[in-house]
Amino acid sequence: MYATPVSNLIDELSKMPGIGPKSAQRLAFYLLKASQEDAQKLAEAIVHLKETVKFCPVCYNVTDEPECEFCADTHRDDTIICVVEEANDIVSMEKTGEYRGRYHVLGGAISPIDGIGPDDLRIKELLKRLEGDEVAEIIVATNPNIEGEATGMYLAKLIKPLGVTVTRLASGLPIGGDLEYADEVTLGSALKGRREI
Amino acid sequence: MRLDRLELINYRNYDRTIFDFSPQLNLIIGGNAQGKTNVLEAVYFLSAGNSHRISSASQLIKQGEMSSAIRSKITKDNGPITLEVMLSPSEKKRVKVGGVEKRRFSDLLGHLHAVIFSPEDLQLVKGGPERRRSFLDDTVVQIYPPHDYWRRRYERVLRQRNILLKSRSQGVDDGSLELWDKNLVEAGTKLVVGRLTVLNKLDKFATQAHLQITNQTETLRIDYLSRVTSGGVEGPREIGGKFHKELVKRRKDELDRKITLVGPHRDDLTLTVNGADVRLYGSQGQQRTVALALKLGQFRLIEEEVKERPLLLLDDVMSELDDDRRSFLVETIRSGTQVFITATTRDSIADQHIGDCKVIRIKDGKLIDEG
Repeated sequence: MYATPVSNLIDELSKMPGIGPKSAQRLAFYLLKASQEDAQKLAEAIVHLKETVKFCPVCYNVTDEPECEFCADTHRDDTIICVVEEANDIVSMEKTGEYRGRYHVLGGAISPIDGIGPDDLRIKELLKRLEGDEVAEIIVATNPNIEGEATGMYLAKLIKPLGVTVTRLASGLPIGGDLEYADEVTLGSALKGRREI
Repeated sequence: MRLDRLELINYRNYDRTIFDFSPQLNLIIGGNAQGKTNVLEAVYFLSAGNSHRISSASQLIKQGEMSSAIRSKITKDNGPITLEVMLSPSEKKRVKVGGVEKRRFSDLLGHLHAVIFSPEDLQLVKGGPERRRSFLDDTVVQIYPPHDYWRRRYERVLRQRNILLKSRSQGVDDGSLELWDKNLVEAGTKLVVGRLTVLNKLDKFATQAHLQITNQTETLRIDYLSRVTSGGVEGPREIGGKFHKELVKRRKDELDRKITLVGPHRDDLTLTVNGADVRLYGSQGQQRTVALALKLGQFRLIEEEVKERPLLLLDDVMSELDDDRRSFLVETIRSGTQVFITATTRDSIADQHIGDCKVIRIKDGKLIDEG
């Protein structure tokens, strides 16, 4: 349908998450119309990203330093590690301003449908970090879907016998929302996870 | 409740067509393959979030188009509301309620209620268990929308678990199955509880309708057939406990056969008429009557539960039914029900007068309005 360079670009773009064929087409034609300079900048940004950004050897966050900022920060609490699926989940946790411990990025969640088993995640690396007796608690902050929960269960099974406390983020009502507008499933989950006041 | 206006955009064989409906009877007339059923399908889609004919929404998009939409104006007892659904093969289904885009597509559910009668209904009796399970689940969703969440969640865990079972070497238990059991049991229990609660009431209405159609001579009985419940007065705790116990018991079997053997995805409904399983021993006529009774039961159940009369969609069924059943169906349609009937000619329903009638003629995805 299109000249080969155009359809090549559309193919590459539509591999990205959240980009369907239609969005890919729109982006490709935007780039076609963009100035040579803008296109060059984008291409360079992508190449630069791949050349300079690496995984932090401790927590597997993305970083362009030898260690990521959260591992290098000497003021953070070493006794607690928050386990997340992807590096961008760290940003969400940091925005809360409530957490001062360390992180560990698994690189996904257990999902047979996608061919991802425990061995494909950075779980061995996490266990290695627990070898010294410093860590007292692991917070499992995987997504609240069934894959995230199965991953959490797997971690708990592995880590609890080591004498480390394993906790899971609570799920439930959004702050500032009215009970009346909460959907039944969320409300049910909040009810199940209720606590004494 | 009534549907005042329906707008189809790039939907099936429609480019862009607006239908204005009568609050009573709407006759949709046209030759074969002109798009009659597509109109009913779109109305049903607004009530159920899926098509009664196919499972993939991308098939609903007009060939060669990138997206399609169904827009509607509805009047309920407590006021007017608009529902809008947008479909695209590459993106998630989207929904707007009252003009506001909702975060989840399932927010569509619970606004418009419709019951569809179609020639395929006979498969409810003759077909495989999955037909009866989805009929029951669809009914639950109409009166209790969160059932849809548990249904999809259960299907997802089940798929994960089955793929895991297939990838294991035969008979080896490395503990990985266990990770999915808790969620399988939780979602499965919710499914079973929802089904049992609704079936209890559906049974009453369907049996009533069945007695009426058969002049009080044949008694229909619907039972829930399951490994995880005996169907009685068991609560979630008992059902969940039994489900889990059964999973553990069948673990070795599951590992050998590489598939999940326990759970609501294997449940069924047994339909008996005067003590005999109508699926195995019923005549074609008896099976038709049971299918009709199930749908009428569904109609009356939804009416009682949501306190508004659902829309009645009759897809090409008038020609399928014999005189007795047809007149019974028409009698059931009391005034105040908005009805949509498809037929190839007006004659097939000419002698049935149900109220104010609007004739909508359709040819090749276009409207020839006759008022």
